[in-house]
Parts: sequence; structure tokens; C-alpha cells
Amino acid sequence: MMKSKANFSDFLNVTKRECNRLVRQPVYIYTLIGAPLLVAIFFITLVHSGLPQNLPIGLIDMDNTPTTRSIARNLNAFEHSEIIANYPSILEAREAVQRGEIYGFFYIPTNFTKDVSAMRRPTLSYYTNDSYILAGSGIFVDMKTMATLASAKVVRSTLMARGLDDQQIAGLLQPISIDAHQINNPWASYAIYLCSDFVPGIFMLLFLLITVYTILNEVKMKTSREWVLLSKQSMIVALSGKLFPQFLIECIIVWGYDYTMYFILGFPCASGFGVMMFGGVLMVLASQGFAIFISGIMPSLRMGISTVSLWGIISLSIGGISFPLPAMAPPLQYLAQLFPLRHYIVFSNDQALNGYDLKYSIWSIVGLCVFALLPLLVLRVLYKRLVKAKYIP
Amino acid sequence: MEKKLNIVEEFKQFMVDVMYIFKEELKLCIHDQGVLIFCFVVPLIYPLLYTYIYNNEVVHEMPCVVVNNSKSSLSREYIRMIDATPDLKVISRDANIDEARKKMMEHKAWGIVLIPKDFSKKINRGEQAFISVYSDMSCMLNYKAMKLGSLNTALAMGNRIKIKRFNKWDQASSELAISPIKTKGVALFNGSKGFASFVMPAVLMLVIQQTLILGIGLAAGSRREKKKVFKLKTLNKRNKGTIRILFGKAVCYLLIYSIISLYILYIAPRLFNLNQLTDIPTLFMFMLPYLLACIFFAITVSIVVHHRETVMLIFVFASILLLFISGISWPTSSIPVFWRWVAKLFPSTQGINGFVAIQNMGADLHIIKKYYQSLWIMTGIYFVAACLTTRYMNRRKS
Repeated sequence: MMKSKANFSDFLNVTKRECNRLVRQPVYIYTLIGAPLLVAIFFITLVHSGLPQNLPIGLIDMDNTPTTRSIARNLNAFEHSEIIANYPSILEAREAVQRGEIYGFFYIPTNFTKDVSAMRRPTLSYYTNDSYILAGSGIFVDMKTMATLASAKVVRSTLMARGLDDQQIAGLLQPISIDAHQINNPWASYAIYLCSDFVPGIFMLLFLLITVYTILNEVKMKTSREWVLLSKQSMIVALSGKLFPQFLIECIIVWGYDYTMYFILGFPCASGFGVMMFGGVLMVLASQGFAIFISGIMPSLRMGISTVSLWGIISLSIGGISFPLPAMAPPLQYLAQLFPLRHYIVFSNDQALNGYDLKYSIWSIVGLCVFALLPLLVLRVLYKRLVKAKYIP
Repeated sequence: MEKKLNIVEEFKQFMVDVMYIFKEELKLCIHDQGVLIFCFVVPLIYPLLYTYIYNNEVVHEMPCVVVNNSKSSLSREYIRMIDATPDLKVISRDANIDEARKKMMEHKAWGIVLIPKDFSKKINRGEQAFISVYSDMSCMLNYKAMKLGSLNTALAMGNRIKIKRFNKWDQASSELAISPIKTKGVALFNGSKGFASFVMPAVLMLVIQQTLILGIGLAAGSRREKKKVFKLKTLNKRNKGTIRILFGKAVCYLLIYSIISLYILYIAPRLFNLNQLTDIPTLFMFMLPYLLACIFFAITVSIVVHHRETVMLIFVFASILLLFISGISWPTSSIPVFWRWVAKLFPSTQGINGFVAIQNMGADLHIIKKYYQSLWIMTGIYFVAACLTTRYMNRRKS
């Protein structure tokens, strides 16, 4: 097989054959174009507000005076929360939480107003449901701030009566203040994080699936011999010619998506678009390379596709998108290196989000390149299978 | 009398046919590698793997760098205190800003704490002092650890300073000035705010639905590719065979998945100390309509699939979308109306929310009536849909 005299026109022949196959089978159009579009539109429309707003919460106002009503009004004006119902007791509010109607509630005790003016230090409490972590922490921040503000308001008026100015009051109330800077994502927007990590992860899964499908379906349909013969038995020409059209489509998908994120939605692209285009090419090549490798070592189309499905789905967790990799058990930190997505995520965070010098991303680039070169290990095995293997049902 | 006998006979024949289909389907499940992977291996391994990944629940000891421009005993104390929090670990106490940035770029630290030169001077003068915190935003939980660690320390240290400042006054007014209103936050459910306790119930319910779709889809695909049909005498008699085929298949998968559900939803969470506020009867009553809805849904969609591998191309990536659309992560109230309607088409949405309520919040079936009824309605709708599609397929074959 290595002595083959294939040339560029053979490459073109294989490519032409592949283009014909692509347009004839709807599953290609679906996986290569339809699904990525659906995923991109889904995530962009889902989280376009960046942070969840107006999360439904409840109120239990046992006091019901002008003071407590004003606290409730102020709480309602907060960005993340919206009071949708009043409850007569904690028991009923708790049930509403269990029914999924509200994510938490704010509790003002009986005689609250009287107790404040009599200096009996009443308690404002807020209850959150952290089974829904994002919603729970959103309303937690709002309700905690409201409770603290209500307290600070009383202190302020007491201290002002004693003749202190605002600066002195700030020093008394909060001697040390934290000035938080969220590097390149000052809004702590979930949209940026979901769209720039999850979507490429699903793209990669789709690319893995379609590449394995393309190769092993030829074996299953017993057309692989014809394919290899067309490329004058050179596996390099056979694979590159066949996967070239998909490579182009996948690059266009990734670039188009990146363009939408960085230029239309205005997500940070600190490294510049060129670097991310380069990253996109690496990501597509790594997916294809890994998929060819799996096609070489798995006995059937079904097993190949099952393997990359599981690999792709697990990579979204082990890639450290939501739960950071360094916080996982040590063996997982090594295991994660076997997932191409992990390297791409490190690359894209370093480059697009943080804009680090390219030299700091060298290991993610090397990682992706290793995946892209994996097919070299299975050329011979794959050749044998393509030429003579029978489909194992 | 004769008529009555007929009914009994017919019922007997019905049961025989259902048992036949059941056996055929079970045989296929056990002999088909693909179905075996999705219906046994994946449900067995996923709970273990995912719990292993998320088992640490929260980010502990996240490495950060301190740039201490104040170099005072107060600033050093602050550094000692953040290092002592469970959230943060100070890997360098005396960096300059360039060194700190380099540590970030080398992925040795995920945040920088910058204590300004006038830090202790301001505190001694009775003014408000500022500490700047810079956090890497590539992972939200790192940012959270950074914020929690630095803020809680600032509050704790601030409270001590506060007491000193108010000490000049009489006891009663100083106490009052610190907090005239007490505040109390109560986490009703998942009090540790753990990641595994939050995401696992959803993932597990989704694994059940998705592996059913893939398994049943693969089995149907295989049968179609091999042009195998069920040999039922009654098959061609109007639509009698359809119901038998559906019942047979449903019993087969219900049996397999009852065992799997018991393992995934009851035994595995116990092994890993996840929240477990439900009991077996509630779980059983809840899972019955969920499994049935999933099975009939899977049978309905399996008709769409002409080759068995295409089922994976179509449904695997959808898992991620279904997880997000369920409202477990991004809250339902913030999901656009269109996607909320799409979410209602899949049993997983009601299943996940209902299961989270019984598992994490100890709700009973009466409280989660909304989800429970929807699941039974879905069972009905998808049963009819599965009847129609199966009948259509059989007619085409014959």
C-alpha cells in the first residue's frame, strides 16, 4: 500500500466521489449542517440575556406595615428576582418551592417594624432552593443584599443622627471592601461561558460521529474497496480526499460560529480572530484524526459510533467546563488529556477569553496536533479492513 | 357461554403473543452488542463515572497569588486568613503584579488578590479599605471560590475592626450599630450547594431516557436491516397485532429498566452519599409513568430511523440540549417560550424536575402532581403514537 503512485488527480477523484455521497444522503446534511446550526441557535437564544432575570420568588410578610411593604418593593426591583406570590406561612411557601413554582422566599417576622424601633434586633430570613444552583445563587444574592441593605439603612440613620458623614459611616459599617474584577467577563455572563465552551464541545461530538460514520459506513455497505481503489491504494490520499469536503464544511461552521460570537454578540476575543480561526482548524483536524483512529481500532460501525458518542458526551464533563478540572480527583486530570475537547477548551479560554501570549498555549496546540496525527498509527490496519473486511452484523 | 369462552381464549392467545414478543425482544437485547452497550453498560457505568467526576462537589483550595503592596502586619494577617479558608490556597504571598500574571498564564493560579499600599493606613485611620480581586472567568466555579474566600475573610476581619471602632461607644448602641436587624440565609434543599447533588439527578434521569431511545432505536434498526418480522398469526388481523407487539416490547424494556432504575436512582446515590430523600414506593410510582412514556416515545421515534447507526447521529447530541432545556441549570423562567414548548415534548423535562423534587426536596407525589400527571398524559399520547407508527410499519411490510 505504501508504494502507491497516487497523485493529485486521484485526490480530486476521491473528493468528487465524496461530494456526490454527501449530497445524496440526508444524514450528512443533517449532521454536518442542520445539527450544528440547531445547537448554535439553541444556545444563543437560550442564554442571550447573559444572566437569569426575574426569577420567581415568594414573600411571607407577617408584619405588613409600610416599612415591610417598602422592603418587598425594593426586593422586587432587583434584577434577578421577582416576587410572584405572598404566602401565609413557611410551610406553604416551602411546598410552592417543592412544586417548582418559586426558587425561594423572603420572610419578614411578626412585629418586625416595632422590634426595629424598639432595638430588639429582629431577624430577616431568606430561603433558597439550591437544587437549582444557578437560580438558587441568583436569588440568594438579591435577598441577602436586600436584608443587609435594610439593616444598613437603620444604622445609617442612627449614625447620621450622631453627626457622622458617609465616608465615616462606610468605614464603620464595612472596614474592608472587596473590589472584584472578573477578567474579560465583567458581567459574569453565563452566555459567554456556555456559548464558548459547550457549543464547540457539541460541534466536536458531531464531527467525531460523522467522520466515523463516513468511514465505517463504507465498510458496512461494502463500498470501501471501490473507494480505496480509486485512490490508487494510498491511504493518505483515500482519507484526505474523502475527508476534505467535510473538513471545509466543518471549518466554515466553526468560523461562522466564532464570527457570530465575537463580532455580532460581542463576546471577548482578546487574541484576535486570526488565532481563533487557527484554533478552529486545529479543533476540526483533531476531531477527524481521533475519529479515524477510532474507526481503525473498532470492529464495526456500531461500535465505532458508540465509542465516539460516549467519548464526546463524557468530554463535556471531564473537559472541565462547569466543574473545573483541577478540582477533580487527580486520576481524572490525567484521563482528561485523552479527550481532544479538553485541549481545545484550554486553548480557547487562554486565547479568546484571556488573550494570553500564544506561547502559553503551546501544550494545548501540541495536544490537538497529536490527535490530528493519530491516524498514522492505524493506516495499515484500516487499509486491510477497507480492502477486505466484511461487515460484522 | 360460547362467546364467553372466546373471550377467555382470546385473552389467553393475547398473553401468549405478548410473551412471545417479550421473549424475542429480550433475546435481541442480549445478543445485539449495540443494544447491550446502551441498555446495560452505559446505565451501569455512567452513574459511577459522573459521580467520580463531580464527587468533590465544590471547588476547594483553589490556587491564587497575592500581590501584597501594603506589607503590613494587617495585610499579612489577611493573607493568612484567606489561605486558611476552604476555598482558597495562596501559592505565592509576595509576588509583584507581573509575576502574578505569569502564574495565571501558566495555569498555576486562577486568581490574584491585590492589597494596595494604603491598606493598613486606611484601616488605622478608621476609613474603608479596599482589596482588589481579579479572577479568571473561564470557569464559573473558580470565580465563585475566589469571591467567597476573599469576601468572607474581608467580612470576618472587618467585623473585628468594627467592634474596636464601636468600642468607643456604649455597649448597647455599638451592638445595634453593627446589626440592628439580624439576617439569616437558609438553604432549603441541597444545603451544601454541591455540584454533584445538583447535576446528578438530572443526568441520571436523562441517561434513562436517552439510553432507552438509543437501545430501542438500535433494536428496531437491526430488525429492519435484517428484515426480521415478528411471526404473529394475529398480526394481519386489523390492528390486533400492533397492541401485542407494543405490550410485549414495553414489558421487556420495563423489566430491564426497573432493575436499572433501582440501581441508578436508588443504589448508586446511596453509594456516593448524594441526597436521597425519597423511598422505594414513591420512586416506583413515579418511575412507572416515566419509563412507560420514555419507552413509547422511543418506539415512536424508532420508526423514523431507517438505519440503526443513524439513531445515534440524531439523538446523542440532543442529550445536552435536553439537559439545558429541562430547566435544571438555566432556570425555566428564563428559557424563551418557544424552547419551553419544545421541552414539553420530551418525557425527560417532567421526569427530571419531578425526580429532583422527590429526591432532593423530599416532595411526595401529591405535591408534584403537575409533573406526575403530565407523565401519564405523555404515556397515553406516545402509546397512541407508537400504535399508529407500528401499525403503519407492519402494513408496509405486509
